[in-house]
Amino acid sequence: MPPVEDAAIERAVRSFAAAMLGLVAHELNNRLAVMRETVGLMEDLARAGKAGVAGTARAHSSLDDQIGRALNIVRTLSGLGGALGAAGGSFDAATAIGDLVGLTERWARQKSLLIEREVAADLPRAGGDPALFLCLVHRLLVGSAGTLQPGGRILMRVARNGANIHLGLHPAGEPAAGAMATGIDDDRINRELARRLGGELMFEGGGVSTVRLAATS
Amino acid sequence: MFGKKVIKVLLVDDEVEFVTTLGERLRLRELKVDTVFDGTQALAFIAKAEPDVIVLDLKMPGLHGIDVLREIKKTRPKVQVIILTGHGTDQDEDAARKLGGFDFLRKPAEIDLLVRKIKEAFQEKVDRVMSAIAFAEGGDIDDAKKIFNKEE
Repeated sequence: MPPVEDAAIERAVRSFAAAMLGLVAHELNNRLAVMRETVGLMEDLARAGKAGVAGTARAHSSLDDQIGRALNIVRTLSGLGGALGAAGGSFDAATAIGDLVGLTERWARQKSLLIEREVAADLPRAGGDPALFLCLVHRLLVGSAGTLQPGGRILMRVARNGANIHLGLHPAGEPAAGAMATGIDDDRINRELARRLGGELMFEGGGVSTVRLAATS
Repeated sequence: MFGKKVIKVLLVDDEVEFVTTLGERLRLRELKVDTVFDGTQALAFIAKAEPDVIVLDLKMPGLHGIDVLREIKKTRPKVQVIILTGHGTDQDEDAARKLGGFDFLRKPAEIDLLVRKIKEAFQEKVDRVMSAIAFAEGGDIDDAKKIFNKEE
């Protein structure tokens, strides 16, 4: 098999970045849309002489909630940006995965997909490029989701294994009719991403995939 | 109100707070508004009742808005559909218009613009019905049916 070209990897990483930016934009837009309608309703009620204390309090509570949710997205994005931009060749895999899952929450909800995480305590830092890692995890997550009908679940298990860190994706639920986890090209790109991380991608039975990374401590 | 007719609007969006608040604002503007929170609920609603205009989100759990629009046009072709989405692409807009969507708006839309579009959609529906009646009265039943069912 010919080696995976740099251009293919670059496309995969760009596609991941675009997907993340799209998710953030969509979610923030939704928060702002709710805020706008809430403020608009307050103005409508005031103009109609129908503004009351209870309604105003409810509106303020709604605005506060939406602002909090928007700030969470900004914090998550900021954390992700920090991980991606970190120098030193190591990163906190558990935090990075947590940020990724946070950003993909709406996508998962729209697929009626439950994503759960089990993270070992005192997980060491992982070696490698966090951008490649997150790109790979996102691709595996999307691939796994494609094998499941709505209502499925993906367990992400991160644990130390000797000098390595293992991230396992365990899909569970009714299989989607005629679905394959990923195509051959996708598999090659995923394996290459893992290799460039200094690790390995392993496929096991039942659609389980495991990313092995070297621990740096 | 539109003349003496109260325009019946169905809002379809999985963002509960957004669609509930928008519904209240539209009711203050004398529209009769129902809200549902996904495509399956929308199709169940129109199986029992026919709104004049549906304001439909695209990205929802379960059925995508384009699939919901397709189904609406099969079962209730006279119902006007306005897409209101925060995530629409040019391809989505093309697909919606080809399926007979009346308009394609991006969230958040100015309330006055949305109300204007709802009224325009309703007026188009009324004009179509009147045109069909005119053809039927003239004996041209086939053309009357086509106009009524939005086949031309």
